[in-house]
Amino acid sequence: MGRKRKPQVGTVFSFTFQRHTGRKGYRVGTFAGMLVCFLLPLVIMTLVETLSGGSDEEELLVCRAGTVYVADSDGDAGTSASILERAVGSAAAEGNAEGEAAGNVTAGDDAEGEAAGNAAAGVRFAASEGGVKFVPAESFEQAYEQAEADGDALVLAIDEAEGGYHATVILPDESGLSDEDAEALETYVQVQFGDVLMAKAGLSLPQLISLGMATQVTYGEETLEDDGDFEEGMREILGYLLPYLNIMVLYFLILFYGQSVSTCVLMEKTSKLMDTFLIAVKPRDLLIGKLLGTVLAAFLQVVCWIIGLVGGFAAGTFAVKQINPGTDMALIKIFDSLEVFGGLFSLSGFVLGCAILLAGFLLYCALGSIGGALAGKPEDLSTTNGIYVMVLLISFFVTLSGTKPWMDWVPFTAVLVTPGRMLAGETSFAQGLLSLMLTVLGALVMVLIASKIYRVMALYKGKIPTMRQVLAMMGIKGKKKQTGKESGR
Amino acid sequence: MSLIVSNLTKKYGEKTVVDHLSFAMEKPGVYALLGTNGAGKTTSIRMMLGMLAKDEGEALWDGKALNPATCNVGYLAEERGLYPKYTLMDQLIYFAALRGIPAAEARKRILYWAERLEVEEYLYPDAAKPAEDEDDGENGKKTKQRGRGKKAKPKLADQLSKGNQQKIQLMIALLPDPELLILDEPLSGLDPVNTDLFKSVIQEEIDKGKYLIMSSHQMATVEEFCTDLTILHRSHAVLQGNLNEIKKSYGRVNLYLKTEQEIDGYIKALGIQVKSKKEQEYRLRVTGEAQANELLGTLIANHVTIVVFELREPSLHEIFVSHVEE
Repeated sequence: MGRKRKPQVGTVFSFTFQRHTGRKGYRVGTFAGMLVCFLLPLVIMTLVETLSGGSDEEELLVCRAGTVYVADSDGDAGTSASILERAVGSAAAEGNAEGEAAGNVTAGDDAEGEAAGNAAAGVRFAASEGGVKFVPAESFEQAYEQAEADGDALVLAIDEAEGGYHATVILPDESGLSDEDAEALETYVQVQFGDVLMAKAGLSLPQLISLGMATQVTYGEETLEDDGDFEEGMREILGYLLPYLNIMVLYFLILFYGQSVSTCVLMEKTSKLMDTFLIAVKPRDLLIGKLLGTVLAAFLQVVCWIIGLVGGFAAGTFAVKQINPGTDMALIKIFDSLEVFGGLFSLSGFVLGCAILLAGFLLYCALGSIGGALAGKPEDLSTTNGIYVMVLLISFFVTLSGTKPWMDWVPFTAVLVTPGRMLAGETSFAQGLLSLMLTVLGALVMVLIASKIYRVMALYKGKIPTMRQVLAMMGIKGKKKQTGKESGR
Repeated sequence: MSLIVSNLTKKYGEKTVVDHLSFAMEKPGVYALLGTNGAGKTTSIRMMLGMLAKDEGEALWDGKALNPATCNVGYLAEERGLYPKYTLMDQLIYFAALRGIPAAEARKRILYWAERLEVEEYLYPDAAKPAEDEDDGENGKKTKQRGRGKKAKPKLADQLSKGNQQKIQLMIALLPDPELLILDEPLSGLDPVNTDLFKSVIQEEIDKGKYLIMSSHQMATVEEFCTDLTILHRSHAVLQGNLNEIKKSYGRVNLYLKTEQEIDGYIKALGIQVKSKKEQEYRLRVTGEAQANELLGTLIANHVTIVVFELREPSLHEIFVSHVEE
C-alpha cells in the first residue's frame, strides 16, 4: 500500500522479445535465412569460377627439364640457346616485378612469382633446381649423349632446311623425363623461335628486346588498369548502386516489420486483454515495451542475415582464391576495392550507419504501431496502416528519384539514403552524426505520439476514428465528440 | 481502510453514461454493483480504476485517489481473454511480473491457486501430483523437472474450455493477493460445479477480510454474498444501501402457501394478488403481515389443512426488477 510501482517497459519488452525470438517460426526463419545468405554467394561464386575455367595454372604445360642441349646445324647454337634462355628469364623477371608492385612480397609470393615467371609462351618450366638452362652443343651426337647422361635433359636439334628451319625436340632413351615434358618444350620453342630467327638474321639483343616490348592501345581517357582510375570507377559504380540497394532492402524490411509491429500492438485488444493490462501497466509502457521488443527481435534477425551474407561472400572469395589465386572475378575486385570507401567501412562509420538504420527502423515501426493503436480489430489494420505505408512509399519514391543532401535531415528519408550517401562519400561523418540525432529525435517523437494515441484508444470500440476525432480524444484539437463506445484514460 | 466513490460521471458527447455515482465501503465485505446491460457498471469500474478518464468525481482508497499503481487491486474484467498462443504458465508469470511479484513467489502463488481452482493439469502437464512439491519451496521448478521421458507440451490458452480460461483469468486477478478485488460478472458462463468453486473462492477472500466489488446479473449469488449494493439503471443509481435494510423497507409481502384443499375462493374474497399457482401451491403478494394473518385465520376457521405458510421479504431479484421496470 502506498508503494510506487516501477515503470513496466522492461518487463513488457522482455516478454515481447522472448515471445518473438522463442517462436519456432522466428528461429527457423532466422537460421534458414542466415544459411541461405551464407550459402548463396559461396556456391554461386565457386560455381562461376569453376565453370569459367578455374586456375590459370592448369592451362600451362609443364616442362621439368633442367637442361636443354641445343644443337644447330649452322653452327651457331650459342645464339639460339641464349635467345631461348633469355625469353624464360625475362618472363621470370616480369613475374617477380608484378609481385613486388602489388606490395605482397613474401616468401610464398616470391615463390609464386618465380613459378609464374618461369612460365612463358604457355609453358611452365619446373626444374627441381635453379631453373631451366639452354646449353649449346657442338653436335647433335654430343647433345644427345650429354642429355642422356644428365637424366633430366632434352635435346633441341635445329636444322636449316630448304626455305626454312626445322627444330626437333628429342627425348633421350634413358631420360627421366616424359613425353609431356618434350611436348611442352616443343610448344615453347614454337612460340619463341621467331626471336631465334631474328637473332640469326643479325639483330642485336637490345634490338630484339625493343621488338619484344608490349604495346597497348586503348580508347578514351580512363582505363581500369590504372589503380587510381579503377578506384574512382568503383566509387562511382558503388556510390550509385549501394544507396539504391540500401533503399530497396530497407523498404521491404520496414514494410514487413512495421506491419508486424502494428499486429503485435493490436494483440492485446484482439485477445480482450486490455482491461487486464491496464490494471497492471500504463498504456505508454505497454506500447513502448512491445515496440522495442519487436524492433529488437526484427533487427537481430536482419543482423543475422547480414552476418550470413558477409560470411558467405568472405567464404566465396576464399574459395575462389583457392581455386584460382590469380582470379579476375569482378565481384572480388569490388570487395578488394571497398577500402576506398573509407566513410562507411571504418569502424566508426559502420557503427554510425548501423545506428541510423536502427533509429530509422524504430521510427518506422513507431509509425506502424500507430496503425495498431488506431485499430480495434485485425481487419482495421489495412486501413489504419495506411498512414505508415503512405509515408514509407512517399519516402521511397522521393529517394528513388535521386539522393539529395536535404534527405539526410528528414528522418523518414535519412534512414533510406544516409548510410548509402556516407558510403559514397557524399555525407561526412559529422553530417551522418547529425542525421542520426535527427532520426533518433524523430523516432522518439513518433513513439510519444503512438503511446498517446494508444492511451486514448486502449478501450475504444467502434468505427475507426478520423484523425480529427483522435486529436479531439487526445485533447489537442476541437471539442471531444466520440462515435465509439469508450476511450482510455 | 475504506473505498469512497463520489459523483463519478462519464459523458460521451452529449450522452451521459454514468451520472454522479456515489457509494462507500467502510468495512471489508462485498459491495454489489447491479444493473441492466449498458447501465454503466463496467464504465464506472473503469473510471474508479483510472483506466478511463472521468468527467467528474473521484474514487478514494484509504483517503487517497484509487490508483492501481499505488494500491493493490485485483480486477477480473467483464471483457476477459488470454494470449491464445502463449503457454498459460508464461502468461501467469508475465502478469505477476507486471504486478511486481518476483518469479519464485509467483510460482508459489500460481501453484496454490492452480490447486484451489483445479487447473493443475493444464499448468503442470508433467506433474502427476504437483501438491507434493508444495512443501519443498521452489515448486514450479521442481514440478517442471519431475517429468521423465517424453514431456507433455505446456497448454496454450486456446486449448482450454471457456470455464477453465475463466479460472486462469481469476488467478491473474488473485495473484497479487489484492486488498481490493473487483469482479465484473465473475460467474457468467460457468457450469454449476465451477460456479460453486468460484463462490467458494469469493467466500475465502471475504473471510480474509478483503474488500470486494461485484457486478453480476445472477441476483441469487449477489444476494448470497453482498451486504451493500447500488442498482444502476440507464446511467443513474436507482437504489442504494444495505441489502437487509432495503429488504426490510419493503416489508414481508411475499407469501408462500401450500394447502391440501383448494383455497382460491378465500384468496379472492380477501382481494390478495396471486403471483403464481401450481395445484395447491400458491405464491401470493400480500399488503403486509395483517393481510397474511387475516388469510391464515380464515383458512383455520374453515378447517383447511395448511402444509406450508411462509411470509418473506422480497428477493433481490424482485427488488431489482421492480426498480428497473419503474
